[in-house]
Amino acid sequence: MLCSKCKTNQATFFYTQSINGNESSVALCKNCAETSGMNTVSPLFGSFFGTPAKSTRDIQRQSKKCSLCALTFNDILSMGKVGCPECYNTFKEELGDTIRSIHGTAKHVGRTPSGTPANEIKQLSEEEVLRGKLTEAIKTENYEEAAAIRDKIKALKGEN
Amino acid sequence: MTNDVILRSRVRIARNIKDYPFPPVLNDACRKEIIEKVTTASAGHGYINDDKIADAVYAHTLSEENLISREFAAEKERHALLKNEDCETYIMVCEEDHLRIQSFSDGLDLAKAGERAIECEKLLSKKINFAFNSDLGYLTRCPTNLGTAMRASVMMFLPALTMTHRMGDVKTQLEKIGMTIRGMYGEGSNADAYMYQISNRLSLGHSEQDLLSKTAAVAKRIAEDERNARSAAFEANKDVLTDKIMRSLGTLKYAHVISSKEFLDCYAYVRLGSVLKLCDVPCEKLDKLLYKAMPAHIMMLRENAENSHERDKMRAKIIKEYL
Ligand SMILES: [Zn+2]
Ligand SMILES: [Zn+2]
Repeated sequence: MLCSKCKTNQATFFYTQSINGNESSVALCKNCAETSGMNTVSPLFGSFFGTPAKSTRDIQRQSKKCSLCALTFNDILSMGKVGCPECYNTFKEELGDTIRSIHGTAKHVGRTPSGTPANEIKQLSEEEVLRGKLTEAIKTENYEEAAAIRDKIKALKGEN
Repeated sequence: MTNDVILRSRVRIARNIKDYPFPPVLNDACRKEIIEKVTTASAGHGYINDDKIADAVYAHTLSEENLISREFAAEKERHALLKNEDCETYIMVCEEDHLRIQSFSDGLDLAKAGERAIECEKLLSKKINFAFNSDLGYLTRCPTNLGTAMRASVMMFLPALTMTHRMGDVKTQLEKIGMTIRGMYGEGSNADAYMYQISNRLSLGHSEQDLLSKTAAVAKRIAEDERNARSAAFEANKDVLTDKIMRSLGTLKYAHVISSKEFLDCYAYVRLGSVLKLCDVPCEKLDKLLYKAMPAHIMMLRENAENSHERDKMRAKIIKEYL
């Protein structure tokens, strides 16, 4: 959804406005929200996504349900938390900007289930840990253990 | 003197299992399945199921020691706690996320705590398919925990920075660099006994190693500031501070009835006195006492300690035995 003020950026913040008793929803990008004095810093749970909006456009959105947990995006808006891992797929577009505005990025860096590629760093430090243990084992004349650790280091290197 | 400022390091990793909704909307049958999966995956690796957590008072003693969250201690639905034999790693099953792995190490040693937590996660991931997305990392109930889903935190004793009204600045500085500071008992808790937890606020876009080393570096810097503030405060108000410390020690030693609040206030001064070598109670002893004098710990010792007056009397007795 585009920002209703500048009509260029993606809207990230959703507000419910009340003018003369008529409720309408406003969707703004971060810039416009800030320049119009809306609160864009919402550190408390339940408010990351702004206030749940109730416009006609949102009613269409309401009909889309997550296949695993059956939540709609409005359910997520009102909780400030998602219902299941699948929600991140179902509501990928809706959640994308919110995630970027929380973290400043939407690209994971670090460990992965398959252990690649960021795990190279971890492998290195694992080796470092083992080397530390090896030194300690030799110091305490625990040669049996030292030999075992040395084998582990070899195995670790062999895997790479 | 490593524990003069930094008491303990903790690393928490959140994980969720593919194809299950998150705990708040999870039915009992699914909870049971998840607990079984985790128990099976950790079997034979020194983990035991701590079934005593069904007892609310016992569960609260663990949360007083920060070993589990307060929310988890108060959980009404089916949940489980697994811990390894050395009590260095705890797995909360069916907390806000399916799994919350927490590992601890003494003093400032996030590398070790991180290594322990990751080791546990690796073990479980051999048998369990964790929900993961190449862009968002490990998927969590709250979008703030996406990415590595890791929180590295350090428990710090900061009396001098607090007394000199500098915690506001510390907080502002930390928030600028994506970190956060909270009281001993986390979100919204007051800084009892001048104890604080600092931790990373963001987990997406930073590797585990980055989060660990960044948090450790920041903790080191704050510890340095605290030490300097202590020397300065001591130089400037030697008599006032010494008097306050010795009076606090007197209260702890001789009180017949003492509330939790009064205990924590006195405790903080005595711990500061111990660090400044103004009284001869070792910090290690004080660190143990901190938990022993808390409400749930006292209730574990004596059943009728539910009455707060009885508890305050009991607390005074426990403290006396310790000092
Ligand atoms: Zn705009
Ligand atoms: Zn869902």
